[in-house]
Amino acid sequence: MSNEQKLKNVFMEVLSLKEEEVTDNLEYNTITAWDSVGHMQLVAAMEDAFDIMMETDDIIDLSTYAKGKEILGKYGVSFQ
Amino acid sequence: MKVTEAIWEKRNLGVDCLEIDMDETDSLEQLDQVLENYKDKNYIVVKSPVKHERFLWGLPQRGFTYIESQIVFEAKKETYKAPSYMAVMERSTSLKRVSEQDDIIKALEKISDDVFDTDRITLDPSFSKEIAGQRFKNWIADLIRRGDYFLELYLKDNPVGFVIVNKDDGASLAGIYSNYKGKGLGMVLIKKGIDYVFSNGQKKIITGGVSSNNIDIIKIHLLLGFNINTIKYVYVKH
Repeated sequence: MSNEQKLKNVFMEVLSLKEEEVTDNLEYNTITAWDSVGHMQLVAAMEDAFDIMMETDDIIDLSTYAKGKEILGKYGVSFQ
Repeated sequence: MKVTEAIWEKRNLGVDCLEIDMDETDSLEQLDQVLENYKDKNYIVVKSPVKHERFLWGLPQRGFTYIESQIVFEAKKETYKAPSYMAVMERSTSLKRVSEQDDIIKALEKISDDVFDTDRITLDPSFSKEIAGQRFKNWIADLIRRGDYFLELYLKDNPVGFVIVNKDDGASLAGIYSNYKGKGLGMVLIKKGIDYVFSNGQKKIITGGVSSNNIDIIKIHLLLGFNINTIKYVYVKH
Protein backbone atom coordinates (compact mmCIF):
# COMPACT_ATOMS: atom_id res chain seq x y z
CA MET A 1 0.00 0.00 0.00
CA SER A 2 1.39 3.42 -0.85
CA ASN A 3 1.96 6.04 1.83
CA GLU A 4 -0.65 8.22 0.14
CA GLN A 5 -3.25 5.48 0.48
CA LYS A 6 -2.16 4.78 4.04
CA LEU A 7 -2.62 8.41 4.98
CA LYS A 8 -5.95 8.63 3.17
CA ASN A 9 -7.14 5.58 5.09
CA VAL A 10 -6.21 7.27 8.36
CA PHE A 11 -8.19 10.38 7.48
CA MET A 12 -11.13 8.35 6.20
CA GLU A 13 -11.30 6.20 9.28
CA VAL A 14 -10.73 8.85 11.94
CA LEU A 15 -12.90 11.54 10.37
CA SER A 16 -15.49 9.16 8.86
CA LEU A 17 -14.96 10.47 5.34
CA LYS A 18 -15.32 8.95 1.89
CA GLU A 19 -12.13 8.66 -0.15
CA GLU A 20 -13.17 11.42 -2.54
CA GLU A 21 -13.61 13.80 0.42
CA VAL A 22 -9.97 13.46 1.43
CA THR A 23 -8.34 16.09 -0.75
CA ASP A 24 -5.26 18.23 -0.30
CA ASN A 25 -7.50 21.13 0.69
CA LEU A 26 -9.27 19.27 3.48
CA GLU A 27 -8.79 21.63 6.40
CA TYR A 28 -8.92 21.49 10.19
CA ASN A 29 -12.04 23.05 11.76
CA THR A 30 -13.92 23.18 8.46
CA ILE A 31 -15.74 19.89 9.03
CA THR A 32 -17.44 18.78 12.24
CA ALA A 33 -15.31 15.68 12.69
CA TRP A 34 -12.01 17.54 12.42
CA ASP A 35 -12.35 19.61 15.58
CA SER A 36 -9.77 19.71 18.36
CA VAL A 37 -10.73 16.22 19.57
CA GLY A 38 -10.70 14.84 16.04
CA HIS A 39 -7.30 16.47 15.60
CA MET A 40 -5.80 14.54 18.51
CA GLN A 41 -7.34 11.32 17.23
CA LEU A 42 -5.93 12.01 13.77
CA VAL A 43 -2.43 12.66 15.07
CA ALA A 44 -2.51 9.53 17.22
CA ALA A 45 -3.64 7.47 14.22
CA MET A 46 -0.97 9.00 11.96
CA GLU A 47 1.70 8.20 14.55
CA ASP A 48 0.47 4.59 14.74
CA ALA A 49 0.18 4.16 10.98
CA PHE A 50 3.65 5.53 10.22
CA ASP A 51 5.37 4.49 13.45
CA ILE A 52 6.54 7.99 14.33
CA MET A 53 6.20 10.41 17.24
CA MET A 54 5.40 13.91 16.08
CA GLU A 55 6.86 17.04 17.59
CA THR A 56 4.34 19.32 19.25
CA ASP A 57 5.00 22.11 16.73
CA ASP A 58 4.12 19.72 13.92
CA ILE A 59 0.97 18.59 15.70
CA ILE A 60 -0.14 22.21 15.96
CA ASP A 61 0.91 22.96 12.36
CA LEU A 62 -1.15 20.09 10.94
CA SER A 63 -3.84 22.21 9.35
CA THR A 64 -4.69 20.42 6.08
CA TYR A 65 -4.33 17.01 4.49
CA ALA A 66 -1.62 18.44 2.22
CA LYS A 67 0.22 19.83 5.25
CA GLY A 68 -0.02 16.38 6.77
CA LYS A 69 1.99 14.95 3.87
CA GLU A 70 4.55 17.72 4.22
CA ILE A 71 4.92 17.10 7.94
CA LEU A 72 5.24 13.35 7.47
CA GLY A 73 8.01 14.08 4.98
CA LYS A 74 10.06 15.47 7.89
CA TYR A 75 9.85 12.06 9.49
CA GLY A 76 11.09 10.25 6.40
CA VAL A 77 7.70 9.37 4.94
CA SER A 78 7.73 10.00 1.19
CA PHE A 79 4.75 10.61 -1.07
CA GLN A 80 5.99 10.02 -4.61
CA MET B 1 -36.29 27.73 45.82
CA LYS B 2 -33.08 29.64 46.36
CA VAL B 3 -33.26 33.38 45.82
CA THR B 4 -30.02 35.36 45.57
CA GLU B 5 -29.50 39.05 45.10
CA ALA B 6 -26.50 38.85 42.78
CA ILE B 7 -24.90 42.09 43.90
CA TRP B 8 -21.65 41.30 42.01
CA GLU B 9 -23.54 41.75 38.74
CA LYS B 10 -23.90 45.46 39.48
CA ARG B 11 -20.12 45.69 39.06
CA ASN B 12 -19.99 43.17 36.24
CA LEU B 13 -23.01 44.09 34.15
CA GLY B 14 -24.38 47.32 35.58
CA VAL B 15 -27.67 45.68 36.51
CA ASP B 16 -29.60 44.89 39.69
CA CYS B 17 -29.72 41.15 39.29
CA LEU B 18 -31.81 38.53 41.00
CA GLU B 19 -31.02 34.83 40.61
CA ILE B 20 -33.73 32.28 41.33
CA ASP B 21 -32.84 28.62 41.45
CA MET B 22 -36.01 26.52 41.39
CA ASP B 23 -36.51 22.84 42.10
CA GLU B 24 -39.20 20.30 41.30
CA THR B 25 -41.31 21.24 44.30
CA ASP B 26 -41.53 24.95 43.50
CA SER B 27 -44.60 26.46 41.89
CA LEU B 28 -45.12 29.33 39.50
CA GLU B 29 -47.22 31.00 42.19
CA GLN B 30 -44.20 31.01 44.47
CA LEU B 31 -42.14 32.47 41.64
CA ASP B 32 -44.76 35.19 41.09
CA GLN B 33 -44.57 36.13 44.77
CA VAL B 34 -40.77 36.42 44.60
CA LEU B 35 -40.96 38.56 41.46
CA GLU B 36 -43.47 40.81 43.23
CA ASN B 37 -41.16 41.13 46.24
CA TYR B 38 -38.18 42.08 44.07
CA LYS B 39 -39.79 44.45 41.58
CA ASP B 40 -36.74 46.74 41.78
CA LYS B 41 -34.55 44.19 39.99
CA ASN B 42 -33.99 44.83 36.30
CA TYR B 43 -32.27 41.57 35.33
CA ILE B 44 -33.67 38.28 36.55
CA VAL B 45 -32.17 34.85 35.98
CA VAL B 46 -34.28 31.78 36.68
CA LYS B 47 -32.89 28.26 36.68
CA SER B 48 -35.54 25.57 36.53
CA PRO B 49 -35.33 21.78 36.50
CA VAL B 50 -35.81 20.12 33.13
CA LYS B 51 -38.86 18.11 32.04
CA HIS B 52 -41.50 20.11 33.91
CA GLU B 53 -43.91 21.69 31.45
CA ARG B 54 -45.15 24.26 33.96
CA PHE B 55 -41.73 25.94 33.80
CA LEU B 56 -41.29 25.39 30.06
CA TRP B 57 -44.51 27.21 29.30
CA GLY B 58 -44.98 29.31 32.41
CA LEU B 59 -41.70 31.19 32.28
CA PRO B 60 -42.04 32.48 28.69
CA GLN B 61 -45.60 33.49 29.58
CA ARG B 62 -44.06 35.67 32.28
CA GLY B 63 -41.72 37.39 29.84
CA PHE B 64 -38.68 35.16 30.36
CA THR B 65 -36.50 34.05 27.47
CA TYR B 66 -34.76 30.68 27.42
CA ILE B 67 -31.03 31.26 26.96
CA GLU B 68 -29.27 27.99 27.73
CA SER B 69 -29.31 24.79 29.67
CA GLN B 70 -26.69 24.28 32.33
CA ILE B 71 -25.25 20.81 32.62
CA VAL B 72 -23.52 19.76 35.82
CA PHE B 73 -21.08 16.89 35.33
CA GLU B 74 -19.51 14.58 37.85
CA ALA B 75 -16.57 12.21 37.83
CA LYS B 76 -15.18 9.79 40.37
CA LYS B 77 -11.48 9.24 40.65
CA GLU B 78 -11.75 5.48 40.21
CA THR B 79 -13.80 5.67 37.01
CA TYR B 80 -12.22 8.74 35.43
CA LYS B 81 -10.08 7.81 32.44
CA ALA B 82 -8.64 9.93 29.66
CA PRO B 83 -8.58 8.51 26.13
CA SER B 84 -5.16 7.32 24.99
CA TYR B 85 -4.96 9.70 22.02
CA MET B 86 -4.68 12.61 24.45
CA ALA B 87 -1.09 11.63 25.00
CA VAL B 88 -0.13 13.25 21.69
CA MET B 89 -0.95 16.73 23.02
CA GLU B 90 -0.21 16.09 26.65
CA ARG B 91 3.40 15.04 26.21
CA SER B 92 4.77 18.58 25.91
CA THR B 93 2.49 20.25 28.44
CA SER B 94 2.74 20.97 32.14
CA LEU B 95 0.67 22.79 34.74
CA LYS B 96 2.32 25.39 36.96
CA ARG B 97 0.87 27.31 39.84
CA VAL B 98 1.11 31.10 39.56
CA SER B 99 1.40 32.55 43.03
CA GLU B 100 2.82 36.03 42.71
CA GLN B 101 0.20 38.76 42.37
CA ASP B 102 2.09 40.52 39.55
CA ASP B 103 2.33 37.27 37.59
CA ILE B 104 -1.38 36.64 38.05
CA ILE B 105 -2.15 40.13 36.76
CA LYS B 106 0.06 39.51 33.70
CA ALA B 107 -1.71 36.22 33.11
CA LEU B 108 -5.13 37.86 33.35
CA GLU B 109 -4.07 40.32 30.65
CA LYS B 110 -3.62 37.39 28.27
CA ILE B 111 -7.26 36.45 28.64
CA SER B 112 -8.99 38.01 25.67
CA ASP B 113 -12.47 39.48 25.79
CA ASP B 114 -13.85 36.69 23.64
CA VAL B 115 -12.64 33.90 25.91
CA PHE B 116 -16.20 33.17 26.89
CA ASP B 117 -18.05 33.24 23.60
CA THR B 118 -20.81 30.80 24.46
CA ASP B 119 -22.08 32.06 27.79
CA ARG B 120 -25.46 33.69 28.40
CA ILE B 121 -23.94 37.16 28.77
CA THR B 122 -22.24 37.05 25.36
CA LEU B 123 -25.42 35.75 23.77
CA ASP B 124 -27.63 38.41 25.33
CA PRO B 125 -28.02 41.47 23.05
CA SER B 126 -28.46 43.61 26.17
CA PHE B 127 -24.79 42.95 26.95
CA SER B 128 -21.71 42.31 24.78
CA LYS B 129 -18.79 39.94 24.49
CA GLU B 130 -16.55 42.64 25.96
CA ILE B 131 -18.78 42.85 29.05
CA ALA B 132 -18.83 39.05 29.25
CA GLY B 133 -15.03 38.95 29.04
CA GLN B 134 -14.57 41.54 31.79
CA ARG B 135 -17.14 39.74 33.95
CA PHE B 136 -15.14 36.57 33.53
CA LYS B 137 -11.93 38.29 34.62
CA ASN B 138 -13.72 39.80 37.64
CA TRP B 139 -14.96 36.33 38.55
CA ILE B 140 -11.43 34.94 38.36
CA ALA B 141 -10.14 37.79 40.53
CA ASP B 142 -12.87 37.06 43.10
CA LEU B 143 -11.91 33.38 43.19
CA ILE B 144 -8.24 34.19 43.68
CA ARG B 145 -9.10 36.62 46.48
CA ARG B 146 -10.96 33.83 48.27
CA GLY B 147 -7.85 31.66 48.07
CA ASP B 148 -8.27 29.58 44.92
CA TYR B 149 -5.17 28.66 42.96
CA PHE B 150 -4.34 30.06 39.54
CA LEU B 151 -2.63 27.41 37.45
CA GLU B 152 -1.19 28.00 34.00
CA LEU B 153 -0.88 25.37 31.31
CA TYR B 154 2.45 25.43 29.52
CA LEU B 155 3.15 24.00 26.10
CA LYS B 156 6.92 23.61 26.27
CA ASP B 157 7.92 27.09 27.52
CA ASN B 158 4.80 28.95 26.44
CA PRO B 159 1.83 29.62 28.71
CA VAL B 160 -1.23 28.68 26.66
CA GLY B 161 -4.09 28.62 29.14
CA PHE B 162 -5.18 28.64 32.73
CA VAL B 163 -7.40 26.85 35.22
CA ILE B 164 -8.65 28.03 38.61
CA VAL B 165 -8.64 25.33 41.26
CA ASN B 166 -10.11 25.27 44.73
CA LYS B 167 -8.61 22.65 47.01
CA ASP B 168 -12.03 21.77 48.38
CA ASP B 169 -14.42 22.16 45.45
CA GLY B 170 -12.19 21.28 42.52
CA ALA B 171 -11.58 23.12 39.28
CA SER B 172 -13.90 25.95 38.30
CA LEU B 173 -12.98 28.31 35.48
CA ALA B 174 -10.57 27.56 32.69
CA GLY B 175 -9.64 28.93 29.32
CA ILE B 176 -7.10 28.78 26.52
CA TYR B 177 -5.39 32.03 25.54
CA SER B 178 -6.63 33.24 22.18
CA ASN B 179 -3.45 32.51 20.15
CA TYR B 180 -3.67 28.86 21.09
CA LYS B 181 -7.37 28.19 20.67
CA GLY B 182 -8.57 25.39 18.41
CA LYS B 183 -5.44 23.24 18.78
CA GLY B 184 -6.80 20.53 21.09
CA LEU B 185 -5.33 22.18 24.18
CA GLY B 186 -8.72 22.76 25.83
CA MET B 187 -9.12 19.07 26.47
CA VAL B 188 -5.56 18.82 27.79
CA LEU B 189 -6.20 21.78 30.09
CA ILE B 190 -9.34 20.28 31.57
CA LYS B 191 -7.65 16.91 32.00
CA LYS B 192 -4.64 18.44 33.72
CA GLY B 193 -6.94 20.41 36.02
CA ILE B 194 -8.80 17.23 36.94
CA ASP B 195 -5.53 15.35 37.51
CA TYR B 196 -4.42 18.16 39.83
CA VAL B 197 -7.62 18.02 41.86
CA PHE B 198 -7.59 14.22 42.15
CA SER B 199 -3.89 14.21 43.05
CA ASN B 200 -4.68 16.53 45.96
CA GLY B 201 -6.95 14.01 47.63
CA GLN B 202 -10.38 14.60 46.15
CA LYS B 203 -12.25 11.46 45.13
CA LYS B 204 -15.11 13.07 43.24
CA ILE B 205 -15.52 16.17 41.13
CA ILE B 206 -18.80 17.94 40.50
CA THR B 207 -18.49 20.73 37.97
CA GLY B 208 -20.29 24.03 37.87
CA GLY B 209 -22.95 24.41 35.19
CA VAL B 210 -21.57 23.97 31.69
CA SER B 211 -23.59 25.87 29.10
CA SER B 212 -25.42 23.83 26.47
CA ASN B 213 -24.08 26.41 23.99
CA ASN B 214 -20.56 25.18 24.66
CA ILE B 215 -20.63 21.98 22.64
CA ASP B 216 -16.85 21.54 22.67
CA ILE B 217 -16.66 21.53 26.47
CA ILE B 218 -19.64 19.17 26.77
CA LYS B 219 -17.92 16.81 24.34
CA ILE B 220 -14.67 17.00 26.30
CA HIS B 221 -16.34 16.16 29.60
CA LEU B 222 -18.10 13.17 28.09
CA LEU B 223 -14.90 11.97 26.41
CA LEU B 224 -13.09 12.23 29.75
CA GLY B 225 -15.63 9.88 31.29
CA PHE B 226 -17.77 12.40 33.16
CA ASN B 227 -21.43 11.59 33.77
CA ILE B 228 -24.28 14.06 33.78
CA ASN B 229 -25.35 14.97 37.31
CA THR B 230 -28.14 17.49 36.64
CA ILE B 231 -29.43 19.75 33.89
CA LYS B 232 -31.31 22.98 34.42
CA TYR B 233 -32.96 25.35 31.99
CA VAL B 234 -31.84 28.96 32.32
CA TYR B 235 -34.18 31.83 31.52
CA VAL B 236 -33.51 35.54 31.67
CA LYS B 237 -35.67 38.65 31.75
CA HIS B 238 -34.75 42.31 31.53
